[in-house]
Amino acid sequence: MAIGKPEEIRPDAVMHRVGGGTVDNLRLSAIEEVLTPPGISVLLGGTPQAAAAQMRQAFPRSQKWHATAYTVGTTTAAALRQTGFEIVPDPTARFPNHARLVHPDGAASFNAANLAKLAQMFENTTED
Amino acid sequence: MELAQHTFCLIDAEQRWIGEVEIDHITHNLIFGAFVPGPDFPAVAEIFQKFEAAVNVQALSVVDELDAEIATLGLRLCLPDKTQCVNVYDIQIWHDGTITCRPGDSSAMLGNGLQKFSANGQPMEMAHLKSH
Repeated sequence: MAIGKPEEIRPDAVMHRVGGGTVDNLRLSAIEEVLTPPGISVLLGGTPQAAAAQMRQAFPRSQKWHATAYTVGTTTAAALRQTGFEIVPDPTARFPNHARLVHPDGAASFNAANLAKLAQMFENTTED
Repeated sequence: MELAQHTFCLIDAEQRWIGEVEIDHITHNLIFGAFVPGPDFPAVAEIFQKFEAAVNVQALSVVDELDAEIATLGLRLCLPDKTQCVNVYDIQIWHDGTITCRPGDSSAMLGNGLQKFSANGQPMEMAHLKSH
């Protein structure tokens, strides 16, 4: 499926980063550095709990997401755009609400300083 | 073909014996089982290793690409004598020896099966996208 354009996502759109909106969990992985454009996955809409549930349902035997999917970072498109990052729709077969968090200047801009600003825009929710 | 409580061979479209699947239970059309690699598993192991790595770093667009690659294998669960087989899709084989898959054709995942993966089983809210 084709990646969309930033203007397709409203400023007030809510998005979730499963695992939390921390600097460590917002870094580009080696796999994501080579994407075009480089970016990390977020889930649009709904609640933090629904985003975590989506991950658990999609990967029912994943040890990783059954252990850590209880913390979810939530922000809006407008908030992350304030930090210089951007968000584009990137629907997948499993996740029709999938989007990619990118930076106009590419992978190098996922640096510690920028990620620290970005992380401040997330509110983390942890399930009991 | 009754799937529950059976052991099946996992065969691909090239008739390669990928492994053996001992079905543990089936919930909401999702098969849970134990996977024992067969003689031809090394030929496809890398795809599933990449899949697990992409899942672990939440690279969901890469997961999507690997899903498509796995679908092209044309995997089926067959009785040991291969007299009966059932197509499966959404096959996930993990390093700990577990497997999940769904009976049916992969088009269910790429077409009208999308909503099966929506949160809480509900149609996905897409109001965050601007209308054109």
